[in-house]
Amino acid sequence: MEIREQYVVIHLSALFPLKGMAYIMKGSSLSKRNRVAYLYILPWLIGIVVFSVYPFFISFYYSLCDYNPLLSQHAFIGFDNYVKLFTKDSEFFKSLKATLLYTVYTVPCKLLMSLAIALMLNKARRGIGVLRTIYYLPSLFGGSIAVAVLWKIMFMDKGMVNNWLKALGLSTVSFLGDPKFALPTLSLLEVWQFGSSMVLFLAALKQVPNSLYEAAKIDGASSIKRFFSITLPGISPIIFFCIIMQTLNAMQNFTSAFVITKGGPLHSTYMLGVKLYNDGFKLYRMGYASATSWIIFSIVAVFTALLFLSSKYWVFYSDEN
Amino acid sequence: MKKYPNIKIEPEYGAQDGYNEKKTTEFSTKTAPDIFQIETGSGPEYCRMGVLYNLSTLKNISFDKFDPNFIKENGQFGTGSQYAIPTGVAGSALIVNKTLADKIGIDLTQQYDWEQLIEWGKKVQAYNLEYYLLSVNTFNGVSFFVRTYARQLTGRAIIDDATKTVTLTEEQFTEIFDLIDRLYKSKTCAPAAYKAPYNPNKDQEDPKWINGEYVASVGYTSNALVLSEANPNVEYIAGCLPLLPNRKSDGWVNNCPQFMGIYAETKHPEEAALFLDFFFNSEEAAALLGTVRSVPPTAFAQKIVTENGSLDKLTAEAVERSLTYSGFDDGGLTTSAESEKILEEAYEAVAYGVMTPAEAAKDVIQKLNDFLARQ
Repeated sequence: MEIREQYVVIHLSALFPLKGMAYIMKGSSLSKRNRVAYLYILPWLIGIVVFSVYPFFISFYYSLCDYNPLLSQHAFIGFDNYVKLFTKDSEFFKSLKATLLYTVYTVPCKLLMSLAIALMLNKARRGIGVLRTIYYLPSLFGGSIAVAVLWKIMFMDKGMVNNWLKALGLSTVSFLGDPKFALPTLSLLEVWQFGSSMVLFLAALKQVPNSLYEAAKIDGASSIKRFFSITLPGISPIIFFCIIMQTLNAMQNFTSAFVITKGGPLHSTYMLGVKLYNDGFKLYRMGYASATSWIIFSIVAVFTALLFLSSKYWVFYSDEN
Repeated sequence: MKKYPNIKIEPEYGAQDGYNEKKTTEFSTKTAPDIFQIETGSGPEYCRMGVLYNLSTLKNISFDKFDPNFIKENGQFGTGSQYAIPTGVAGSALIVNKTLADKIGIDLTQQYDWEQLIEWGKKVQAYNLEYYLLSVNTFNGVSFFVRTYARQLTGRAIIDDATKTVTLTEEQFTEIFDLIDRLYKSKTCAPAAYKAPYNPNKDQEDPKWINGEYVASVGYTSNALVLSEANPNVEYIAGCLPLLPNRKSDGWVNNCPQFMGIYAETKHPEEAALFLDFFFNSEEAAALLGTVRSVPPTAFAQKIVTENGSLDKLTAEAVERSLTYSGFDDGGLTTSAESEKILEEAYEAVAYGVMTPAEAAKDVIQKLNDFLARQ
């Protein structure tokens, strides 16, 4: 029930500012208190229009143009960029493959890892607050350039990880230079940043009523049975939310692939994010890059829609029977 | 500046990483600074796109102190007008770890050809399997092996800008990629997989270079000093560069490390020209700048940095060695971002052994033709 209410609040808060602004413009009879409130959110509203809404729509227009940012000229060419991406650009499919593989590697691993750690930290014991903080730490700086650089240095041929392998008498691995290992190495960095999902799972686990566990115990249900029949259904709205958010993140990956491998070797980590950046800012084909970004958006939109459609079969809300 | 109180200069630091991308955004939004530094390879593209001011039309800057040929070859981009000013004299360089070369018995101070290079590569491997003759990555491999060998083979750049055609045949490209293939199979070059994570022109960050496990690093004269500082216990020299016996040109490039230019949309072109005139023509600026952008581009500034000791021996030696080769800079479409990308992808595929030289040649010809069809 809590989750549904949150969704409702989000929708209303997104709509009301516009309505409120209209009232302000018209000099309507909104109370002074409300007008002040709308003025408070005005910077946010301007920000979202300028930095999100406008770029979102203009990028679609650019995707239909041959747009060179150096010349600031954009000739309308219809769907040529999309046709070219699917029929003539072999690099696009390599990029799509790398991005989808990255999503497949990272999303399930990250969710399983964060759920396992959340279950471990969901027990009252001494120093649990410190432990929770420690596990959350990687997420605080995980997406930064500095950590990507650190990851790169750690996994280089003469880096720390290979030195450990050597010390253990194992053969070294070219983590970043071998196309077979480069993508899993980047995926590991993403999985390491499991903190935010873990915190959500931890909060969701606290919401599962203890009385259900007690009743199940009295009925003789094993701990595995309790996990699958009570815990998982109880936190299914959060699992649903995490899958969507993590998929969105993975599909838009840019920083780690750009900083650590630049998309190489042999395109093995050439994510769509890196491709659209190179097309737009290095090859000056901004229209083509915009088309790539709309394809990423379409894939994520379709995936999210399918997930929403499937949710009635596996996501359970506490206000439902 | 005290001399011009009406002019206020606001400098802004720009890191090398993402520099061109930042410039693209600034050009697109018409917010580029009045004066900016330009990477050598980007100069012709910027000129073609019309983002550079025609400096020949400005009265506040003089080019009299520059060698007329040097300034013509560096910054006019074939237009007959000056669009950018070279910040220094630079060129291809092979910085050699002489201490190691002497131990193995390799003399890179005498002229040699590409086949000799491969023989020496095998000799280094025989000396120690962990050691390699050359430290080079994909980016430098394209500039120094592919494009140089192409110039030696045909005497021309890979793309003829006037006719917008590829000047090499598929067989000639196959020959080039065959050389690349042999350089890697013989382990003359360090493995591509090992070099992949390292940034171009930053061998000083590679532990193998620091430990003295390469005989030589392929790069630019402007990197000589920083490379030598990576290991003070080793003696470094500037080596000769390989030549093809029946070459049509020496191929090795002498140009400049960067350009300075004025933004085409500037509102203050003459004021910007005044500053550039100070930057390039004043003794005070020459002494202040020293060799931060390689050897200065003018004779008077070179004299100043030699006298005040800021020009180090190795850089001077590397520039002198580089000037003995009569190469020319490709510029134009050959060094455009898309051509570079096409060549780098083929180079990498051959270096990793996932494409044969013939396949790489075919792929490059097709992609270059596709690119040229759009120009």
